Amino acid sequence: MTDVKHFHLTEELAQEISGAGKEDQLFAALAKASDRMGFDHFALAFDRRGGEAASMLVHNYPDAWAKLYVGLELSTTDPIRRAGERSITGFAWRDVGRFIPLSRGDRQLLSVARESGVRDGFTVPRHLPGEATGSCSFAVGPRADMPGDMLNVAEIIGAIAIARARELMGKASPRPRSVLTERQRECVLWSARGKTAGEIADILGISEETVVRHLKMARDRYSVHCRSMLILCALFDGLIGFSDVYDWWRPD
Amino acid sequence: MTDQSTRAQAAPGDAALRAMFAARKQVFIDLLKWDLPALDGRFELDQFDNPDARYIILLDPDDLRHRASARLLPTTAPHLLGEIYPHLCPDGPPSDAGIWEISRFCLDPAQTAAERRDARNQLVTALADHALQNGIAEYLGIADTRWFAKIGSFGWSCRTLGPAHPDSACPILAFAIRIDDDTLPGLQRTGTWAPLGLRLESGELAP
Repeated sequence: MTDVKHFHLTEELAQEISGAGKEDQLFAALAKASDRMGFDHFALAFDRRGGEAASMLVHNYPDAWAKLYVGLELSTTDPIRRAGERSITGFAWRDVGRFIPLSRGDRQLLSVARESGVRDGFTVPRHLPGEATGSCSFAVGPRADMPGDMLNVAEIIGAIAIARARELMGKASPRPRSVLTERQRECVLWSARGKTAGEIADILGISEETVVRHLKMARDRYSVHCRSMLILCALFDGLIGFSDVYDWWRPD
Repeated sequence: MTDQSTRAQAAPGDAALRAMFAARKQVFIDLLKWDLPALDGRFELDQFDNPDARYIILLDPDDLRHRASARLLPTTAPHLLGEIYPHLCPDGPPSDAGIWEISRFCLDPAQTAAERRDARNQLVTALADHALQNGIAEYLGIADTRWFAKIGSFGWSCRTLGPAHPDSACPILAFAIRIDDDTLPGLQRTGTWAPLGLRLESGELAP
């Protein structure tokens, strides 16, 4: 019976969040959702990068923690945020050490959060490399336990909330055409794989001068001055993918 | 409640707290080498920086630079003497609504000796004023013996709460400062009392 109950709850909460047409409606829907799932607080963050960078932060964290987190700009080194970049699913904060190594400062941040009324939580991360990062966290206060039977519901609700935030912020429109020519793209790809111009020339069967010219024109097209920025631009634009590069570099 | 695109900006009222936490990192971690973790590598906060804490912060009136600050904790809630250093009080750490603990007495390193002294005197005066205005009859503190000798010379009434205990380089002890009608005249007699020329911000994390 619990399964059916959870299914109905998930459907109901999901519909309200998807239907939120404005930020304050999203706030209300998420406040209700976190309460219904047995959490005390929520925080939805969405950061869109690129030419029209913008952020959304909607939360009902206790004032003390909000004051520190926003006032001291702690989000930049928040270990939960960093762990979110290493996890494909939601995770409980107490497990954060499984995803990233924690420094003493990280532990102190988590302990200050606990003292400020945010004891434990569950964070759903979502990333669109090159476009945006988002996270939706549900947290419990000092006197509550994490609702363990609701984490799968929170996983779905969190993901839907992030998607809704992305809709409300407006998606960055994908470039209609590739910025680089196919030959330029190939040179950038091999460059990202750590090859020199001479090596790329051998691989592609063209002269080294031609490779250098392709890379120069590629940099001009992105208006960047070094090879590493060029690689990042191609990566962010999706002209090359992480998986294209990853197998060429592995930590021991 | 909700704030869009405000992640990078702090509310103006929080600027004093922010400056204080950054100064505390410079003083207690960088300068005094206390073994404390820094938050984000920039701020010093610990478990006592919670909604119970009150802060007395003195800022430069011209550029709002941090000059001096101190943290006050009620002794009816977790505080250093009760939680970490109870062994410094053989009779048990005092606890009462009229007794508050001073910690993280912080003078900004980026000032001249004369500015530092002036900021210190204004902070001591502000602490005495705060106590008189808020029904605080006694402050508690923990200090090494050298710093305690200094505090005792300010002209207010100090007593130790137990013998000094060895702690790394310099022995530390717990002490109490009585605040009453004699406090301000006492501070005036030693020349410690100073009129408030800096900008006083009383901060807290509570709403």
